[in-house]
Amino acid sequence: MSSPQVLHIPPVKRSMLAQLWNDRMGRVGLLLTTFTLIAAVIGPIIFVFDSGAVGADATTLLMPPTRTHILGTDELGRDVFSQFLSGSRVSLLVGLMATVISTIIGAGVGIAAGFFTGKLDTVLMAVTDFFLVVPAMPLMIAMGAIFGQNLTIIIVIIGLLSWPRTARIVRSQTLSLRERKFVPRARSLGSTNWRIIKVHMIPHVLPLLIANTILVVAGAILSEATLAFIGLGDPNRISWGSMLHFAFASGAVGRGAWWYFMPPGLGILLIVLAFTLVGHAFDKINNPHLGGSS
Amino acid sequence: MNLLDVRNLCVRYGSEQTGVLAVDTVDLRIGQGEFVGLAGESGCGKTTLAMAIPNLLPEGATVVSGSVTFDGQDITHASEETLNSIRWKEISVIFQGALNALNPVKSVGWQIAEPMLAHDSGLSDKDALARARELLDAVGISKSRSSAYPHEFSGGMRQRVMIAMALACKPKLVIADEPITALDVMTQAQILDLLRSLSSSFDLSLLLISHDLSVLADTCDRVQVMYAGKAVESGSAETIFASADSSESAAHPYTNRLLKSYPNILHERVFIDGIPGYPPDLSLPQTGCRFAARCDQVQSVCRTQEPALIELHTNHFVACHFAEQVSR
Amino acid sequence: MNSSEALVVKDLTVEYALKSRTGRIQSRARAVDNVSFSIATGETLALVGESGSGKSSIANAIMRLVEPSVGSITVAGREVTSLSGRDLRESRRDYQMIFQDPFESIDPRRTVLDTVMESLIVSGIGETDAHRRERALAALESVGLTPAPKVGERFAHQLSGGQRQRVAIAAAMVLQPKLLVADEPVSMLDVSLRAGILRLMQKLGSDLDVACLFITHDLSLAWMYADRIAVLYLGRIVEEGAPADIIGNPKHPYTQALVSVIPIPERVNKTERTILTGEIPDSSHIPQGCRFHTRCPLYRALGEPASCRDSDPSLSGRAIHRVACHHSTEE
Repeated sequence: MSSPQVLHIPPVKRSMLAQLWNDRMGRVGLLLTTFTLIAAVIGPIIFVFDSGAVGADATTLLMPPTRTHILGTDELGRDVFSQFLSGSRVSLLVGLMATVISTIIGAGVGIAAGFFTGKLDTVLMAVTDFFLVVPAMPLMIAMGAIFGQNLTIIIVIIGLLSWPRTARIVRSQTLSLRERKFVPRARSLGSTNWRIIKVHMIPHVLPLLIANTILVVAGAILSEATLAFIGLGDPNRISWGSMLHFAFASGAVGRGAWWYFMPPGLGILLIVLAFTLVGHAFDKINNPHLGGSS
Repeated sequence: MNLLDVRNLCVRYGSEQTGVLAVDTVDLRIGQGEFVGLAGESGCGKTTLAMAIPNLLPEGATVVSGSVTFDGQDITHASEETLNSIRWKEISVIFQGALNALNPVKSVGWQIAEPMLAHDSGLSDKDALARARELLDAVGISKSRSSAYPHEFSGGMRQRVMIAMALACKPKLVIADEPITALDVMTQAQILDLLRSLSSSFDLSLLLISHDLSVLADTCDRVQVMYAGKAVESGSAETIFASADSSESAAHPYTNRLLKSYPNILHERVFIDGIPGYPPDLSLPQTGCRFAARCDQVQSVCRTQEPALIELHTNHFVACHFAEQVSR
Repeated sequence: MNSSEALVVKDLTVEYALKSRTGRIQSRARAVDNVSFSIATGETLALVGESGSGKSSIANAIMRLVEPSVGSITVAGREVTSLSGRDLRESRRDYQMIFQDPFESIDPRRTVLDTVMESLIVSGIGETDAHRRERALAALESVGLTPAPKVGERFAHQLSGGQRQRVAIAAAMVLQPKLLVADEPVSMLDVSLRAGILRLMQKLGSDLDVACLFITHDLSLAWMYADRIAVLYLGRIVEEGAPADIIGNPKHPYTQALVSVIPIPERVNKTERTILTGEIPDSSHIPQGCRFHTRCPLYRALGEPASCRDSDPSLSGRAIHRVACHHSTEE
């Protein structure tokens, strides 16, 4: 009654990217993410990292930045800059792949529990709550130690342990959607459950799911870095986490070799920040009432 | 002297350039002890007009011009402090949908007592609660239920509690925005009956806002009909609701069409008429009579010239070029 | 069974289990209690009642959105309560529903055209998308949403309430159902728009010879629109008859009270209203005997006869006007 216009037609929604760009947090996040992605894709092609190119003598070990090694060398005399670039690939790969697993499980469990309710909901939420309260990091460490240090296994472990939050969020959204009258209307038309989920549930859940997914990427990158840092990474693949691990293990930190441990440390910080910023900005655009809190 | 005298009020949503005049030069008068009904479709500006009186307009809405005089005092641009001393004590509001806005964790007795305590620092908790119990009794709820919580009450009972709250500080004017809309037919009748009976015991004036013209018929002394931000007709309930063959009856085509939108069980069983089309988009400039596009008696002058609100008979105002000729 | 009956509801009972927090069933609420009625092809029956009368539960049971506890529902000669799975889904195109709130019943993320086409896709009507599109556009035209291709591109939030309800009608009628269940189809709309929607429903209904179950709380609207009226109280039909008889000569004290409180503009300051006190009892605590006796003015006027407390009256009287009351006077 208070709205003066009867036929108020809101302006056409601008594209999500344009809206992100207009948000300060979103813009910084987008720039950082894009920059990192480009660096990870192109960097290692230009600056090829040769893990066998060890230093010839003691003077080339842990060497500060020079013209040929712009970020110096590591404890074996290998180039840190090219190492840093190829490490970004592994960090991003683990982050993105683990998120795919996490999102598929989380969305599946959340929609199934919220849509079918009843006993299935009770069981699925009991499992979700179990994974939610179990301290994920110690469990990841334990599983990493048991199942071995292989990139695929690391991706699966992180993916399997980071879905509960997604499931919770998707479930509550699905539960409230289920109460909307277009769901019984669809049912009374003769729609199957699957069709109701596909046509009426998923499109509504999607924006929230995307925002959440972006935040999960940040968490997964951090998890990988942690695992690698404590020495549970894939020994055959250099990631930012494993760079940090070797920097500490070789005593580079003690010797003040900042060029070795600062780049991967800052890299992790910035990429996690970047995804978090984009995720929060996305969330803010979808839920303007929340004022940016997630 | 009228208790409330609103003159030439204009209320705008949004900015000067792009905003919408939701209430456009509207008068509203309520006499001491008078029950006035404000009717019209959604978006006609009736709630905006009513909320402008105690300056409870939502954010983005501003009184552009005109005046609100309450009990001899100009309160149009009164300070928040002055308004706070007037709200509840002089003018209380029953908001639309408020029956779901009761605090779930406080007893209804306390919720009625609260405004009393807020406005009278000399009042003790005990006295306020005692008075809350009397008010519950007055609105038809047993005194013993004052310690009950809102969830124990049905919608009709909660609306009674809201009415008791509105009466807590003995206001002179109560503004009730769609107080019966969400209620059942029989409960609606109960609440309207209650409002009528309270008028004598509380020496009350009432502004009753409803999209449903027919419920105003046996509750109000006078009715004002709004359309697209304008007052198009106002008159005594007897006049507005008089049958067409009476000497004096509703004269604006909009009022008449609205009345014919309800089935009338006293008449022959015919299909209701309704009004084709939709109200105008007020964000566009308006020329002529705002109802012209939907009016079945439209003439060329209606499209170019805005009709003034004229006094057709004593206290019967109509804004239509052809008010004298309009027939039902 | 008479083949001209579009809907036959027999001994329908709908119960809801009231569960405690631990999930144990504490008691049962009987929202619909042994209700029988039928609607002939092309006929409109209005179910009139307040909230808690069970009118929406009856609609939901017919639409198989809730499971009836007891009873049978036959639509166009086919018993539907025994159907399940694919058979049930395929039967659904015969009975369609218009929901009360057009703001809630249309998916806001789909266009108007998608919404209407969805009916056809789900029911497997039309060979190609182009066929379905054509039929959906024709349906939009038929409900007055023109130009259909342009309106079809819009989303629900770009339409007014009346237009949305037209979309819902198009989405239901495009399936050419035998029965239309309209649950308070105009109660959320502005008064001036109601006539347009009701006329549209009436026209499409008579064009396609569709039976209509018109559910409303508004007795005067039922009187105006329906061919027959059934008045519900606490899950039971208490009176059934032609609109003129229900309004002009109501026999059940409840109907009499409902008729007396119909707001009539011309009856300013009327005095002859019968306002019932209290509210409809909880459907988990249906009073013994006549379920209305706790609020019945006649029961009190007659000195509280024991029969009202002891025995549950059944619907009786001439077939065209039946009433469930021990003491209503027969002419």
